[in-house]
Amino acid sequence: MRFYFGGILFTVMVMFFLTGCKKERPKPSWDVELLTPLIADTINVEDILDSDFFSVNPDGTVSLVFDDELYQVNVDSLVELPDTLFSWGFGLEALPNPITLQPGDTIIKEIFDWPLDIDSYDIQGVKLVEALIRSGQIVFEAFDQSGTDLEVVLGINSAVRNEIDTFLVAEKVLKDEVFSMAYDVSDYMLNLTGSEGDTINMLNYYLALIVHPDEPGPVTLFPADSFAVNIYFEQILINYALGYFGQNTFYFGPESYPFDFFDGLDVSGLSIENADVNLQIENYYGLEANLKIQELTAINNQNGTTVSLEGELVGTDLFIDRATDPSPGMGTVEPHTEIFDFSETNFPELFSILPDEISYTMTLQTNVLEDSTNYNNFLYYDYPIRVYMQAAVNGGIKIDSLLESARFEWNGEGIQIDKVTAGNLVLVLTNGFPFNLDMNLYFQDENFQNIDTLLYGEFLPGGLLDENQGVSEPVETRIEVPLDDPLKESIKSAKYSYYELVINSAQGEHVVIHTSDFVRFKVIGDFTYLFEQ
Amino acid sequence: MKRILAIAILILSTSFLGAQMPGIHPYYPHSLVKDSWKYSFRAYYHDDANSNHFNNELFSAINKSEYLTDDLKDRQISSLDGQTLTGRIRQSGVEAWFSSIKKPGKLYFYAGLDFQQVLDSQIDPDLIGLLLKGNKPYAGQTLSVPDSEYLNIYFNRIKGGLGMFFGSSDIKHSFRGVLAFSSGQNYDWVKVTNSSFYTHPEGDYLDAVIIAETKSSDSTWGKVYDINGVGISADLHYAIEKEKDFYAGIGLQNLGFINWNKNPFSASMDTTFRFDGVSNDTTNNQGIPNDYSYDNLKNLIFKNPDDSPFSKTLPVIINVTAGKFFSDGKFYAGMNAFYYPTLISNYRLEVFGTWNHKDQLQVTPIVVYSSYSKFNFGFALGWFITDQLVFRAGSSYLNSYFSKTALVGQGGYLGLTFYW
Repeated sequence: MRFYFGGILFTVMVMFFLTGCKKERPKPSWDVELLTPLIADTINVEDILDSDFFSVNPDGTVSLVFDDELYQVNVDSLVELPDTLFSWGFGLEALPNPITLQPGDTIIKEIFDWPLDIDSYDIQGVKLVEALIRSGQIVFEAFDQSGTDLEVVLGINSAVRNEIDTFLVAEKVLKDEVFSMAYDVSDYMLNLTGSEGDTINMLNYYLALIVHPDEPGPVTLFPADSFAVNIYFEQILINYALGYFGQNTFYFGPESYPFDFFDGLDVSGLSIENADVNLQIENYYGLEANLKIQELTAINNQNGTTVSLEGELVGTDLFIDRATDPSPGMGTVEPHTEIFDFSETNFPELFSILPDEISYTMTLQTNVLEDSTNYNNFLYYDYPIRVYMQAAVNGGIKIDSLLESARFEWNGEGIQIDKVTAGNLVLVLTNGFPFNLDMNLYFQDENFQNIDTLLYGEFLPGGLLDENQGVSEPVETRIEVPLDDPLKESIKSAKYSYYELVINSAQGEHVVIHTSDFVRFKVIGDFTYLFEQ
Repeated sequence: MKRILAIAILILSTSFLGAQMPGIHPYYPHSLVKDSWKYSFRAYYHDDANSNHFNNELFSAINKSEYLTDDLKDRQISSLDGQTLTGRIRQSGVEAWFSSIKKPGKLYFYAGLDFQQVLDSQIDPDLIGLLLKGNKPYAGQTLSVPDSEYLNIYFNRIKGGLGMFFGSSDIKHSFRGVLAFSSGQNYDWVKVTNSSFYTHPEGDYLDAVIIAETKSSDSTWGKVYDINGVGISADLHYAIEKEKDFYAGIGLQNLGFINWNKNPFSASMDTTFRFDGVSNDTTNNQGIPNDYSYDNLKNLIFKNPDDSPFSKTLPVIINVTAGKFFSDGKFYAGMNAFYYPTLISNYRLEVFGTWNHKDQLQVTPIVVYSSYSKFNFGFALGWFITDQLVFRAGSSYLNSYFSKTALVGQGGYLGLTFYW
């Protein structure tokens, strides 16, 4: 009996032994009252105001800025080459009798100058000494009425590519047929000073007619035989030109172009107190000019409103001096820049209608000082005259219903939200902007669909303003959101958090924005949490 | 009758060979030199949990993985008065002794397994309040953590050794040396000094000054067959006895180390920071943490941890016991002292007296005083169930064991020894 009892005891001891070596961490649980910030985010000026629209001033204030190109005066408007170079006919009527020539014998060979008829265009007084062709063709046409096949050689001694490649072509022209061929003359530099180098608008040519070497035997030319040659430019674009471009007035407009400056700004109203407005003209042409803005009109096609620019500089000649070209023909242009102060215009009114289109009428008068004895006007295709409008709002700005939004990735799957047994999320919004904000805050799924709304139309008053209409003191708003089961589910399943801010100037005033302005968004957890080990 | 007495003496002899092991019945040591036994086996379980401020109610709820109610926490926090020391030393194992055939009664061989847990901590009251109640009740106050430390270590040992008896017929000596292969299961150590914690009254931010250091091995508490570290250790024991006159012995346990090499984590920090929320900044869009596990939080708090293996000494236990026999062995009175040089709560002193009833039943009242600055009382019992089977049990916490509101004082031992 004792032995049996001892066996039981020994078994019990082995169980104790096993208990002793079983090492499991105790897992008690208890509630703790937590009060802790969870998420903090600060929205700064640059987050809601696109740097394309705003710039920072030395005093830390932020100005609404506009700096965009209004117009380019391109080469085609200033200098053009005529289509036709020359038409030339050659007859043998002077021969007393027919003559017999061997294959390869030259009938005629000429080297000659021929002027460009630039005045055939409306552009008057253009005197070119050099022109680099950007693209285009020379078309060569020939008609042979000699009764034998000819070899026609055409050269333009004034057209050289890569400094060594003179334009020269030789073609077989069949008897009684019209020959036509186009040749690419891109990158050919035209020397327009003629064979003596002392004139203008002049090209030097080479032309030869030869009995074609493939003729089987001697050929006979008769006094009635003749030949004709036409040469002309086709679709020529000038890359560079040097000479004198005449005193001409060019008219631009009325034209309009889309104005996309406000495309990224979802705002229903904008009011500007005053602004520094400059018209900057960069002249890359080697000529002086007067630019005159006849009319500049801002158009809002959404509401049909238009406002025209008004001020004393409107309709006034704006003189711009010429650019310099230290290495002529190399494209190293140093532009001349003129800035004209348009601050006394009604420019703020133009912006206030949030235009989506700008229309203009301008004139450009060239060589207002130069005479034709200097052939140092130049132009490059890639360097036109550029006209910029630069405006900076240096006073207050009033914004109505500017909508800004942002979306952030949200990963709530790992948050042990189920262990929160009761409590609130406290949203603390500290508005240090001079704007009133209406805020919507959502949780969204992977398709950006709202699955829960934390805030909707929550009014966040703007910061208190000082005498300069800047923010002197941020205003804090606290909102308690009960942490109920649907919200806990949203926190777990949301993929994004998304907020919308509708921004209006505080107290309806024109306000001054500083880089230090901010909105701080904070989520504080104030809840009972089941702590489990 | 003489034969029965002889058998009883033999039983006592073999069982108290086990009593010379640390944590085993020291309350009635017996003659060290016996030559008529061949082998002996013992299984034991020993648990000693103590605290100067935690109460049994909290301790039991934690160990039973229960839910801690607000009332329970309030009662506990209201009783905090200064730093709270808490410790637990738990050992279990099996052992075997084999008497030398050539030198019976002079030499024996030893083999055993043991499983040990040592928990040792001192926690500042503000930190306990923070852990149990959360930070909201303390919003607007600065909580101070000047010196808190926590150590928890689990390890197992496979042991082998030799023991010998020598001396004259009057004064007898015993010496035993044991060498052990140690396998570590879990090591967690955190020390926080001169730190503080402040919660903004409305929760806008948290300010923290943290000076902390930590070392840990694989933080998932390993199963008994998981090895997160290896090492060696030794146990030594010496005793001197004059039969039925006096007994004195000293034992040193866990003289060695473990090299922790599985997922080691060593780090320190000395930082002051303000936490005002995880930034979901519009420019860098850093995510909020999605893993609040112990490991992840540890990695969030401690930057640039060192993942090199590290070695730590085992918690050494020095046991000194001594006593005097009276009335031809009918009574024995003495002391049993433990010193833990590597622990915060580092001593425990027992005073006891044993009544030996016909070498079949021994009853021992015990008075204990320890680092926890309090007295505990208890009883130990030795019962010779059969000629070859001895059962021993006891607890020195009978004054506090069964009271919910008493300070933690729990534990005891069970042992069963079989011999042949």
